[in-house]
Amino acid sequence: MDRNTHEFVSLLTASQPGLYACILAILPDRVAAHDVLQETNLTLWQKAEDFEPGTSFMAWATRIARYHVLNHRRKMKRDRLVFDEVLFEELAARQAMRADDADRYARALRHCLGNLPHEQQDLVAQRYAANGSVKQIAGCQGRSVGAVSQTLYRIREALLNCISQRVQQGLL
Amino acid sequence: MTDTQTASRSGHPDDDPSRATSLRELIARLSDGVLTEQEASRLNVLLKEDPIAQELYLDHMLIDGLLELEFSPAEAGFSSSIVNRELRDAKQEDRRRRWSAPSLQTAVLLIAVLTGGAIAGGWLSRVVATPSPSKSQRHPLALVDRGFESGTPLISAAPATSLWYGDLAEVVGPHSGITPLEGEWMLRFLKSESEPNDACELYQMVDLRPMSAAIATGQASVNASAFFNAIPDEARAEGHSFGVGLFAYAADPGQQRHIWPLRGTQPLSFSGRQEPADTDAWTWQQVAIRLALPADTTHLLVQVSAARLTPSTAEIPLELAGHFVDQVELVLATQD
Repeated sequence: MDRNTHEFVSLLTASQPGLYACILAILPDRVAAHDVLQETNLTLWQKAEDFEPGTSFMAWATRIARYHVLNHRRKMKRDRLVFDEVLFEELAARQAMRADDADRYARALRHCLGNLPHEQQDLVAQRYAANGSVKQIAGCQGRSVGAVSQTLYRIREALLNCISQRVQQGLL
Repeated sequence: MTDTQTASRSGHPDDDPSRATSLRELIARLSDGVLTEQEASRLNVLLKEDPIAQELYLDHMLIDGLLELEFSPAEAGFSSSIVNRELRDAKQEDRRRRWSAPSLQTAVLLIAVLTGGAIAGGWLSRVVATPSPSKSQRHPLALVDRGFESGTPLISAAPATSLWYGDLAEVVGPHSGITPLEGEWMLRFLKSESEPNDACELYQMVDLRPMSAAIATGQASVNASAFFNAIPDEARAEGHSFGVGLFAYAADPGQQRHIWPLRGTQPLSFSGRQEPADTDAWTWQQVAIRLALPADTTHLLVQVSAARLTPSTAEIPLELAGHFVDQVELVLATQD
């Protein structure tokens, strides 16, 4: 596909949330994941002509992202890697089969966020705001870090259930 | 094989409540950036060769990553259609406060840009960024006519003769029930002037050479955001999207003679985001992105766009029914 077409730019820009989420899952380090996303974008741009219209853009993009994650892991110190080599390969293979999920989930997320009770929306907004952290929230609310972390986990779980239902029902 | 591993292969993590709790706690702690080294080892053990636990983990991290992009404009792409009016108004108030007492540097720059335009007998065709960075880590970049408050139709197809250039657009006041987010004017996307016909895209070039020292560290990034709105009419049923894009270059791509600034011009790096237009004409929808700047970046191209989600079959580009953008902002973040 010609990289200069609006269609390619649309695919690339629309894929960003899902692509980042896919990278973060196999490279759970937010700074590194952002770096890899950017490297991936550049490669996608350079290799646009390799992409066949009509095939899954996300599947193609996540394959390239995986290559960049591998490169990044090689450069990282071993003690900074959360997953060992074997587990990384397992997760990356599994992730590759779910590439299109990321795209669908990204589209359903906003609706499900709107369904959350206001206090939960506020908590999520605080946690994911720039410089937001569970430690900061725990300090403000007089709760333990673990308690806030578990509350956030349950909210993410609720979002996941809502999104899965919408995806299954084709409500995107 | 440990008891935990035995349990993990016997079924879903929920089958063993203590194990499931442990796995969830560890995933939550990883998500929240508080996982210790020992806990990471434990997470490896729990996930290894356990497809169900791995699916649970991947599901969770997928939501985690999507939430980060949804809420964190400073770090990544961002859109805030769920931000309510009160929050938006609070942000506006904050922005007004910031602009009511601009730094001397910003004031000097704004004056320089405005007087420079006047002396040239028109608007500057390039934006000059703030000079060498201050000690602050965030430096607003002066995007000329960021809120379209000049009220003049600046748009044309030729990059060298206008500030915003690209497809057909007009600067309007209140229009079809939509009022500008700030000030008296906003930009209305009209239609495409080049193939394909489905997107109306506007660009502005920012000269980053005055910031070269900060960018050369390889630690600088740019955050871009813009607010969008659309009238709720039948055309909305087709579905539209709004987008913001950033393209970093090692030379001025505007020197090339073409309407579409990317054609034949390889950017050093790229970041962009498109969001479906929401159905709420009462609130403005923000789309924001971040681009880490390669060390040799000298120019930055900012793109704002409105597009049909379903390609049009019409031979002649159709005019968009009422799609607007206001308050385009750029902030350079540096590691001082």
